[in-house]
Amino acid sequence: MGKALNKRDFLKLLAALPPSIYFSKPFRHPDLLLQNPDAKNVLIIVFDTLSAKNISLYGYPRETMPNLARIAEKGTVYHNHFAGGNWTVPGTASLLTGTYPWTHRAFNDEYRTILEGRERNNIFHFFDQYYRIGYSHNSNLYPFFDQFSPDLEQIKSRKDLFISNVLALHELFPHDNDIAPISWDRMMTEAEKGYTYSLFFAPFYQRYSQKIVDDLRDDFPRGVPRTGADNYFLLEDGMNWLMSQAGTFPRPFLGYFHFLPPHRPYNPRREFVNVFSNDYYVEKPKPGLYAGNEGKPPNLRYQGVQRQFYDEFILYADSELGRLYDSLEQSGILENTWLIFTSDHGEMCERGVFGHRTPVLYQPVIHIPLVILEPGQTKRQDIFTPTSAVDVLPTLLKITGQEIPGWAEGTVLPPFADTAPNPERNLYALEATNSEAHGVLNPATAMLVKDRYKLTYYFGYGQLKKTGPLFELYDLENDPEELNNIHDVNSEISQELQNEMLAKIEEVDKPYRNG
Amino acid sequence: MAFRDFGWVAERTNVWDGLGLLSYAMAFALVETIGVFLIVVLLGFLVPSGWGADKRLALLGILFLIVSLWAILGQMYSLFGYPVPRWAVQFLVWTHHPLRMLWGGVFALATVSAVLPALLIIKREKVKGMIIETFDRISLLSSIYVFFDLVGIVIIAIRNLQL
Repeated sequence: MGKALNKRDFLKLLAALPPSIYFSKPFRHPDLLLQNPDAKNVLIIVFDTLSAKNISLYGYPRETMPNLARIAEKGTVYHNHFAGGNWTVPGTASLLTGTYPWTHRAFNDEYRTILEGRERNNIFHFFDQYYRIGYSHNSNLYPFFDQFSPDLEQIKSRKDLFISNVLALHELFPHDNDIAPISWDRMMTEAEKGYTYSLFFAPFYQRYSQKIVDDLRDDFPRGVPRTGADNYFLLEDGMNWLMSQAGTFPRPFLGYFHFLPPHRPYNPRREFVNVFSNDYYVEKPKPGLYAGNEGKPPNLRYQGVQRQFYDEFILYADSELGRLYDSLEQSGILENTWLIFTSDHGEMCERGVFGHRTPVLYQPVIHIPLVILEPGQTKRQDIFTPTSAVDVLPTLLKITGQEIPGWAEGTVLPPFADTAPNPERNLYALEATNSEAHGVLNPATAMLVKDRYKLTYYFGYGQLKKTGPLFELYDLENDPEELNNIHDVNSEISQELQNEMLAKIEEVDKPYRNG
Repeated sequence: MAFRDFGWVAERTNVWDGLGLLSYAMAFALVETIGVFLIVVLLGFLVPSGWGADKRLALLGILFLIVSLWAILGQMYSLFGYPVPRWAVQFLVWTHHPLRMLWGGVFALATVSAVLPALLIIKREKVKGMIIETFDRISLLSSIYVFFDLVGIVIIAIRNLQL
């Protein structure tokens, strides 16, 4: 019989445990079969909270995205592209699953995951002959990545590209790159109430982390970009990492990279601060609705400042996009790669509404950019047909020669589709943050776009108790700013769209109605 | 963390992840405890070697306890958001050197709170005996934490070594 461990040996064993965990990290993709080495890579770049309204490429008066305009000269620009939802969870879920929020059911704060049983209905699942990798600055993506993990070769930890992540917990604990950092944060960083679980080390750790950030303050006068209270990051780091790694991914690859700028807080680098402060651009005031500022007149001065800050942050993000594009082009990766640039939802700085977590689905919140660069494309193409985030999945399947599943709710985007766009097609978006994830939609705001018309349906909100549901109808061709609500129950188009909308809500609620 | 985070993590993912979360907290706390313990051990080299083991143990143990109490007080101060009393602020302003006074005051208070019990232990056998008995009981309680720490480490190992 072997000698029993004494106390000293046991302590030695404990000391050796962390390195053993690290060095035993399993190699995630040893048996990846690249059966089609000639296939093109697919690179999806998402900038969080980027409204098409504020992009110069789409006609915004400020030159906010000169690099995107430059890139678009060799791509296809979608001028009427809509998000599936108005914040990251529903918007990204629609992009990644090719389904609307009422189908994937990831739309409220409590359940930020795809409906059980539909986890494999994701974009990565179809690219099993590709090296599939996902990264996001935004934590909301990780519950999806976890659900999709059987279909991903690499999920890069979000904290990898944060400034104060000096511990590389994700490498030490490869299977727990979510909960290990949460525990660490609780131990070491001050929560909203200002305390930590660690009694002794936390002040030293915080001082150390803060010093790293403090050193950057000169370059970021409005504050270092961050998400949450203290997750500081530089978009430059994300781009540098992608530029250095894109050439090393096994080919072909499908990469989804989700960067937080220009999401709030709007903290651009010094060279972009106040670039738009003296251009005297003032937007016309728009009527605030019940769901906006509760009837109070919008503070135009505040609105102007918010818009200026947002635009300057976009300009900063655009400069990094340009740097990424140049690097990918110079390295030759683009010759063999489909590049998709889009956003998950927009942002609003008008009508007394600031941000995107709002019941309203006006264009700034829901109209997002989409630019697709085909390998070898040299001439710009402009598409004005209304399109949706749910169309990206079927389009990527089509262009990579794969079958489109029956459950996909989108269609192949022009010009990649075999047939002309259907002008009678309905596109939808949904805001249902306060609805039950697994129940009927209430309260909610649903949007329907058909050709040039956009119908918005508000229902179940407390403010509408007396008046009942509210409909708005806009002619986006003649009134892109949505200033004139032309909904009139007596008009043919109002009635038609209203009926279609109500029928759709009835249809999607049906599985959740009692009896 | 068991009260604050276990529920939502378990609900969002599963109970195993919730246990993982607690395990990491226990493991991080263990690392911190070992770190502080090592500092106390180093301080132990400053204590005259002629002193008996009981006296050394009582002295270093009480210093560790006092530092812990100060840290807990600091956390509670942040947690409950106590304001600095108005008279104290007025006094600091009146001195024209508020920072020096503040740090000086804290240093004096901390020193007294550490030196006084230390002197009592050195000079009075009865106090030393009481402290030793107290630590005997605390040790028993701590062993429960050590057990949970070990369980936590095992859980972390299982989670990360699975293929």
